[in-house]
Amino acid sequence: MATLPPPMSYEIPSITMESDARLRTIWLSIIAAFLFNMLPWHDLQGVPDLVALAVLFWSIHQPHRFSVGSAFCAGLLLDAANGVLLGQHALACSALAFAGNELSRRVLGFGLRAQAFHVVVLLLLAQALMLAVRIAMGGTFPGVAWFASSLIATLFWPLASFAHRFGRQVGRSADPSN
Amino acid sequence: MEAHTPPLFLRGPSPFVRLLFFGVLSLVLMVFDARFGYVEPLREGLLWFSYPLQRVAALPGSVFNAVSDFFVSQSRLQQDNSTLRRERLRDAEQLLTLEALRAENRNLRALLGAREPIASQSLVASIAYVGRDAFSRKVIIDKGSQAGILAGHPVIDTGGVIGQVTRVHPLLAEVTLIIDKDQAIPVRVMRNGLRGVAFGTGDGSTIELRYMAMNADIAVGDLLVTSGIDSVFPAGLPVATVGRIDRDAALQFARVLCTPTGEPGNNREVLIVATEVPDLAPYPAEDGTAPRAGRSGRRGRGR
Repeated sequence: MATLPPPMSYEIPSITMESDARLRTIWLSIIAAFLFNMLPWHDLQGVPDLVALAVLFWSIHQPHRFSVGSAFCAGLLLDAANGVLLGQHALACSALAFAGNELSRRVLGFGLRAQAFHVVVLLLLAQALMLAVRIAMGGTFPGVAWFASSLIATLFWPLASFAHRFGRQVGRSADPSN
Repeated sequence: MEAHTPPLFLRGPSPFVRLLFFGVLSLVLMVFDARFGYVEPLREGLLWFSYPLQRVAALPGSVFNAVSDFFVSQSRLQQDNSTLRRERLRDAEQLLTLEALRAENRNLRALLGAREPIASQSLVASIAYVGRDAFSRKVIIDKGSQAGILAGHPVIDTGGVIGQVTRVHPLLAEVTLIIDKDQAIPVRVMRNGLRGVAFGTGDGSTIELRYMAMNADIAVGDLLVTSGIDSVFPAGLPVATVGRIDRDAALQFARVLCTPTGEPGNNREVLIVATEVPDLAPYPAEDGTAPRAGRSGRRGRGR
């Protein structure tokens, strides 16, 4: 046993696991998504829900840092700010975070294009969940065009991925211990 | 070596357990919000977090507006000025007669022994942002209870009634537009005084006059104005014009679709008519005893 080298920290392939992002980064990005959502849009048709995208992004990239509870909080804040049924976005975001956590390894194994396919399906499912809840509470179907916002939000996925990769490179070069 | 072993399984409860917990929590919140309205304090607290964010999000727009206002050309200003002057002249005549008509109306009402019409003041507010919800039509305005806004106040624009304040916070207020599916407004046909109640259809542009008899005297192009019968909306504000009438014999009522005269959701500035929201008579209890307190705060609540 004495001949064994001491345990070394080695780079884990980024496909299976990423180094932990700082919590500050995660929450700053969520706040940025919030700001985007709360811009005084003239018409909300097709405006992507970037908070949902950010929740999904971090739950896939950082499943141990960002989980259902954090997503729930983000969704609840979104509900309160928009004056909608309290819990509607919270439920959708929780479900998104759960799916993201569960599928994290699988999704990160793919290239960006295949990742985007996963993302669009998950976002559409989250919207369908909100739709089901609202119809159960007596709402009306807002039309198929409502789902367009998920398709548009998916276009932001590669951008978010590039920004994330870039941020990590900058962070690594700035931090000599890494 | 054991000391370096990472805690493999100390990650708290499994994701599924968390999902179950927070999913049930969301459902409970939704039911409490929709059916009982118990979660208003929580919403109030959360808004204190989102309010600064909203202010920051509004910054780019207001900076852009300020800059474009600053660089507006002189010819444009002159043009605006002459248009406004012309409009003012045109309105002045009507305003002058309005004062006389008001006085006359007051005297006539006194003669008839009728109640005074609701006194009102108005308050300009701008729309801060549009509520992000495909299932309801709401806008958030940048004034709240600190400016004297109460839940129930009517909201108008230059064309007519566009909505009603349904929830007030100290610095913000939520306005449910009349095109919202759950928003109702008592109206009468200007031409003949036929009363009815108009509801939003939820399709984003029309409202529907419900419970109109098949043979009701109503025609395409009729102007609907507020009837004032609810003591919330002042009487006589234009609401909508009748756009289409389907008299299908298979149905019990005629289907009357109307187009709002205002532009709900298309304005930056709105006017809140600060009427005195009356305390309604106590809601009759089911067993006929012990009436509950007035429910004026929940009137016309839409979602």
